Amino acid sequence: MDLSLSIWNWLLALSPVLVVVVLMLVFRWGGSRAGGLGWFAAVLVAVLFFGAGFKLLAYAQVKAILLSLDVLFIIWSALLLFNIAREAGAIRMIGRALPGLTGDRVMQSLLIGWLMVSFLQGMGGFGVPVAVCAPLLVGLGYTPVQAVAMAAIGHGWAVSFGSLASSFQTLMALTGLPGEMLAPFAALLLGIACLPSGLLVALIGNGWKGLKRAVVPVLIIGSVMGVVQYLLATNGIWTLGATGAGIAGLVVGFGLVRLPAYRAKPSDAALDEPAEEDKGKSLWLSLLAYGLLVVLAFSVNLIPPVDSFLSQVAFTLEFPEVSTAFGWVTSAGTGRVINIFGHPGAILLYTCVISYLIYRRVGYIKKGALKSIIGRVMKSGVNSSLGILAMVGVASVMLHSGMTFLLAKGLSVSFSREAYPAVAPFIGALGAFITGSNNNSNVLFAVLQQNAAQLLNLSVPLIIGAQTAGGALGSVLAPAKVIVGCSTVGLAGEEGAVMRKLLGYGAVTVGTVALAAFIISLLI
Amino acid sequence: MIETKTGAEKKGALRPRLRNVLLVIQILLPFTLYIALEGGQTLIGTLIAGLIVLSMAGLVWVG
Repeated sequence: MDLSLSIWNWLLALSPVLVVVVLMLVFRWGGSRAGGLGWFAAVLVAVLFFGAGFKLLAYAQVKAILLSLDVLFIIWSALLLFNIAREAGAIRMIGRALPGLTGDRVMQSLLIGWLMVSFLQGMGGFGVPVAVCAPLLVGLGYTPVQAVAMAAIGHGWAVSFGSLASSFQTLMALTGLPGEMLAPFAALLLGIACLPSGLLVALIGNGWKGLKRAVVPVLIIGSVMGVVQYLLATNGIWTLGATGAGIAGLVVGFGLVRLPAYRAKPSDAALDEPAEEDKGKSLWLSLLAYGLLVVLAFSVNLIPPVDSFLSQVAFTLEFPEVSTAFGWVTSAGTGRVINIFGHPGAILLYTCVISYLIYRRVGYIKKGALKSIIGRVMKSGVNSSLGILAMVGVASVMLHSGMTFLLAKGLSVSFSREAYPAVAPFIGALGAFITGSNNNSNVLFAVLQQNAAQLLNLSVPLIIGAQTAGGALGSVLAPAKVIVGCSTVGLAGEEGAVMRKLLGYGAVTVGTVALAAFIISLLI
Repeated sequence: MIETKTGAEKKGALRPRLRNVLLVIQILLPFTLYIALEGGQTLIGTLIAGLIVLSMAGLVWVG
């Protein structure tokens, strides 16, 4: 047997993913347990059928840990920030304040589950929007499963141009094409995906009636966000594409809830007396942690001297070239670079320290509360970390043994020229689903998609745009990301329930992009 | 009255501690594996790889 493409090889390459998905969706296993067994499946298939040797697997595992640490830094810091803010009463206060601003449940769900998550995606990276906003949605009365699903689906469209467009930068680096050429189709497709993302948030939170009621606000706000992101991305400011769009969306959203049609009567809960521990507390002061996060993130990312000062200490490892017995080569190079002091996790950590000290000073957090805060962080953090370690391990073994490439190659050669634009987003989504990252999906498949577009005489920017759009929308469905969301709403170990809900909705958003790419390919 | 714990109860009580230990092990072992491989210590590397496999089995068991 060799690495050539056949249906048998393709199914074998898919088997570790199937193991994880079936265990989580059918047998309702938690992410860490399913990931662990998925890792065994990946190692066995890699050794027995893909010619992976000891060194390849060993270095793949070390790389996986490096990648995982990059993510875990953010998760642990986000969990700490959330628990500090919760201890200070911020979550309860938002839960009371938002219904006071508008009693319209649909608008409440859109403000947090669509607009705020998108804005946070602009600045934060892996899982931060879900980790921060899912608990806020629970505070508004949505179930934990609904909350994670809403926050995940709500920000998928903002991933490629979020996190300072790191996924898009990867796309440029790998394809060798300028951003000016790639941005129009990528921004157009993601702008289109913005609309079903908003509608689905309304549907998940408020049912079909909520969806119907959301059509007009989603069209207005979604059009504004899509256009702002398009204009920023196509004018060379792609690093702020999602951030700018998120800010524009929040401004329009807060404007809309001032209109009589969307203001509605504040709910009874909003008019109740605040909880005993929140009496005398200011909403704005209790929200200080999140305001501080915004200020620090902007300062670090947008002021070059601050960024370069904090980027002086980095941790990484050098890896040698490794190859399988069948000749699949992974080049030598540097592993994930973890920027110790300029990392998003570090920014979250600075926010934690400063906000904790202020909350203590003003009496919002009582003496001795730190122990319970750390206890809660540990409880959520350990389980999700184990799941992420296992999932990233699966992705790394698959990547180094050539399984992931074979999966995409199989999809790319199985469809005609006419159908391929509709397939390209699903390839991007598959890569992101496996690796948990739009960026990694682009690393894996951007060149493959570029080659396929050239061979089929299709527009390369369109297919690359479809790749990153699919990757963005697929990344929010990935087990590794679902685990992060679940960890902050007390659903650790029950990720399967959320994934069952998410996969159907994810098919709608990726399907919308596929349809749009198909139609555009017929028009150009 | 003497209270006896079932296997499932014992596992449930042990689970949080085991998870903490597993997390530390799973983060540290690959780094020691890297050091062993870079130092040409294949035998030690193989032993560490065996421990990584055992820790994954532990993860599946603990859940």
